[in-house]
Amino acid sequence: MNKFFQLFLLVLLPAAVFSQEQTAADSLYIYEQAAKNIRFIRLGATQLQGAKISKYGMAGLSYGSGSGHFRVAQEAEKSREAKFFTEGVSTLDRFKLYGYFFFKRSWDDSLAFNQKGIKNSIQPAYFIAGKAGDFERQTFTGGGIISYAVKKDKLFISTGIDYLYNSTAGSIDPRALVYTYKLIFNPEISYRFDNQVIGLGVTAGYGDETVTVKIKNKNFGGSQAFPDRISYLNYGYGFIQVSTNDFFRKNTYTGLNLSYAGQLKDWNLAAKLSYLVTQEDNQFKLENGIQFIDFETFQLQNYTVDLLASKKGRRNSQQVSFHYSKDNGDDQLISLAARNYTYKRDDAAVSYSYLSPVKRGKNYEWEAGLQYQSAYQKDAAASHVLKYTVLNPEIKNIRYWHQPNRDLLSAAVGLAARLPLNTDVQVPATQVNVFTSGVVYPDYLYWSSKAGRASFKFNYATDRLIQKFRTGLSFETSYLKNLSPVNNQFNTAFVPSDGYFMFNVGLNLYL
Amino acid sequence: MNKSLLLLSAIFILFTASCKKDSLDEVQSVSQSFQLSFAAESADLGLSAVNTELTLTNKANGLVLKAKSDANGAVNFTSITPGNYSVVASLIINAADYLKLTGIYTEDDIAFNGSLDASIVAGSAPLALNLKSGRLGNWVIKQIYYGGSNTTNGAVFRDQFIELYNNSNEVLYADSLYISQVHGGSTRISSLDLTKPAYLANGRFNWANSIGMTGTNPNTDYVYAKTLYMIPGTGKQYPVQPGTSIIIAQNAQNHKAAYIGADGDAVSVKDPSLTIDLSKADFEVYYGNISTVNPLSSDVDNPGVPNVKVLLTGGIRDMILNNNGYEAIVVFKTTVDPLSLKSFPAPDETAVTSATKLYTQIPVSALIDGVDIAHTVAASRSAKRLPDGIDAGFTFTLGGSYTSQSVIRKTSKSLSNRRVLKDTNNSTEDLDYLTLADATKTVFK
Repeated sequence: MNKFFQLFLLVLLPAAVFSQEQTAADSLYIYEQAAKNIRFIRLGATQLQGAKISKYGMAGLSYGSGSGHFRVAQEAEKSREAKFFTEGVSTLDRFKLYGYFFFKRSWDDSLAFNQKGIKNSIQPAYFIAGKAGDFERQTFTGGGIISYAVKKDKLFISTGIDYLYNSTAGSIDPRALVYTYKLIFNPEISYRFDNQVIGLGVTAGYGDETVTVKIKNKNFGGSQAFPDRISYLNYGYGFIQVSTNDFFRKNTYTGLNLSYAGQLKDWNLAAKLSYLVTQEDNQFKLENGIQFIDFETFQLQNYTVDLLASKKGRRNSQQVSFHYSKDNGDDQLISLAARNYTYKRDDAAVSYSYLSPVKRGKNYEWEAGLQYQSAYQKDAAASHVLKYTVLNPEIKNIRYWHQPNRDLLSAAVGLAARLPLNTDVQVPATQVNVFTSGVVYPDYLYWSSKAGRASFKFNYATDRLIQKFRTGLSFETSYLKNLSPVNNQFNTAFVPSDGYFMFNVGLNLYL
Repeated sequence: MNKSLLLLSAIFILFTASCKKDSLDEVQSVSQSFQLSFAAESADLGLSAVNTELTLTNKANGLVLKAKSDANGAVNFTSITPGNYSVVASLIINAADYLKLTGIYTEDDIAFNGSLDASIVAGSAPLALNLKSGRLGNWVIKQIYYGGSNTTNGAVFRDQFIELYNNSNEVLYADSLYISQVHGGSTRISSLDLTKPAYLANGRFNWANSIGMTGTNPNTDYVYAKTLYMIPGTGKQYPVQPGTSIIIAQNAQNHKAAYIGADGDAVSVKDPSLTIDLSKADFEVYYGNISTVNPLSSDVDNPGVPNVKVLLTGGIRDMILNNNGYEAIVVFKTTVDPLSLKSFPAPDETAVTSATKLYTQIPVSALIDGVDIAHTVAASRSAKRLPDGIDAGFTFTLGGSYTSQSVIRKTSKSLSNRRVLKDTNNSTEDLDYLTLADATKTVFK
């Protein structure tokens, strides 16, 4: 199917959902506990059916920026992004629908060693160059969930659709041009027992990526005089080869998930357990231009558990959330007929929040969270290993004000820390190359640094601006700073330090 | 409901188990040892290979590793990436030590070199490297400007030249000195089908399989000339003082300024700073008067500069050196007429016809000096063309093609009246590069 036609259809889906909407939804987004409930609805059809919300919608425009030196090596010194997002839920007789559309245009300034199409994707094969360059990206995502009650209030068949199209273009030699496409279906069957809904779903999808890199300035092509302009193909985490050979990436997605949404005494519960296998085949085009030959394959297994327990009472509302995600990936490098790249990641987060009742138009919320992050990357051919484990405690206080004329205002202040528990880097002296000094060592310095983060968030929603809609303004900012001096024991050119500042402003319509 | 949950859990577990593929064995970084020994002609001199420097260059990413041999001539590299490497060994024994060890007096230090192209994988057996002492000639190739200058703003390749240097302490005569471009493969080694009989395992041409080949050791005792130029003279017509040079230009013109080409049109450059003045070259190569050649319009004879004799045109239209560095240059003198030497087709030729190019077999023993040039990018390099006794290494400019850069021999020592240039028959060690080729004969590294 033509990709742009698919995109067109997906743009229409949230619009169709919107057209049925009648209820304002600002509090669903501004209240943190409610916003978490919304995030769960996006997880799948069972959650959609289990949710007590039958209709809501929003559309938002935002602009954000991040800049600073305290970052990983494969992040830009400065990034900007403009986003448009719209989503909605609607119920039409036996159908319950969720739709979303997201468009993002982003600009990266001074991004080195990362010529990926999607900047943070987990993939062993991608081009790198030491030259910090400018990149521009356009991302369209869209999709939704269509759920149909085969047996009213009992049995539901549904499917989720998620579409992604991304283009990335660099403008400094060597310059990448990458087009990424992904289409995933999530058929699901759900059954309701009293006030409990349980569902079983599968995932099937396909994606591809066309990866090209060009050197426009003839002085840089085939020259060693400008080491940072040399284009390398990375085969994992340090095994690199000088290359400008374009390649093609083919992805297939298969998975299974179990979902639950229901009520246990005073608690609303939601849970999802999912397993996803991403199979990636990286291929060079043969000289005849028709056939492709694999040069590296990669399989990534992901296990995710999401739990949310919410209790809404007269005296207060409480919420506990738990998230665990585990990645296990390894490759097959055809030229060496062996496994080169190993990627492991464990990410667990638990949080508790307490929301006070509204008194004289005011209430407050306390949220405490703890996140555990652990990652391991190994490149066997280049004998590069980087592993780290960090703990991120966070505490947040949010104040809400309800004005008599239906204004809703919130302000949140958060403090978080990043505490490295275990960080290790292993690279033999015989294997040190540009990737080691440009990425591996700086990332080791980053993850072994103790850091603190302060954040502030402001939200305002009113119907004074546009009569038919609730309009919202949002502002969000955070500052991450290393709390101890970074000891540059490797004498790298890039040393993560001096903080990282982010802000985001948005204009939202709540329907 | 409990039964349903159990069933769903069982399905989930089965699914996750079935999707998981088996992992392959992990790549192991490898260790590789080398065993150095002296070639037969030096084996019984009592020399020690201790402290021979081995240089490994990873052909995929250009990573260079160096190590020195132990007292037994063994060198071990641990934890290296499996792959294709070029290996160059270099040992210099100073004259006093050489006298002490062998009882043979030499005026200069003696250099021993060896090289090989190796595919290093897990479990590779120790690799043997033979150290050979080449002939250290009085003539050395001082500078080769093969890269040319910018294709839009410069002179492209028409400003190429070769500079020869008298590295001795006595007057040398350039008369009847031969300069030749050596034939070899111009395809990166990784793209070759090494199962073909035309190639050795290291990607070099296997001349033993050339049609009609006779004689022993065709790969190590000979090089195969593509072009052949001879400096004219009566024998003592062109004296070259110690520590001075002569330049053989492709076109002895001032390339910084416009000149009238053979077709009557102006030959000019947009940016004179990218090129050089070769109007004062000592010799030039002129193809314009060769009936079998369709000469380039830029090939204009400078009457003030004597022409070399073109004995073999090489099937090209001037002394055009390969801009990418797929090239090797040798100089030699011989008492026999080189045109009487045997010629052979390249080993990848499967039949000989009237159109087949033949390459003249020049004995290594006649060679005075040679320089093997390589592509700047390690991954794009073709196999070496010269045997170790002439040049165990290779050289290249940092900028690569069309960057106005040249390779130039380093200075070994400065005496009161001349410089002695480094000549260990290993161009990896002996040569450096200039960011702008220099035809004044006064620049040294």
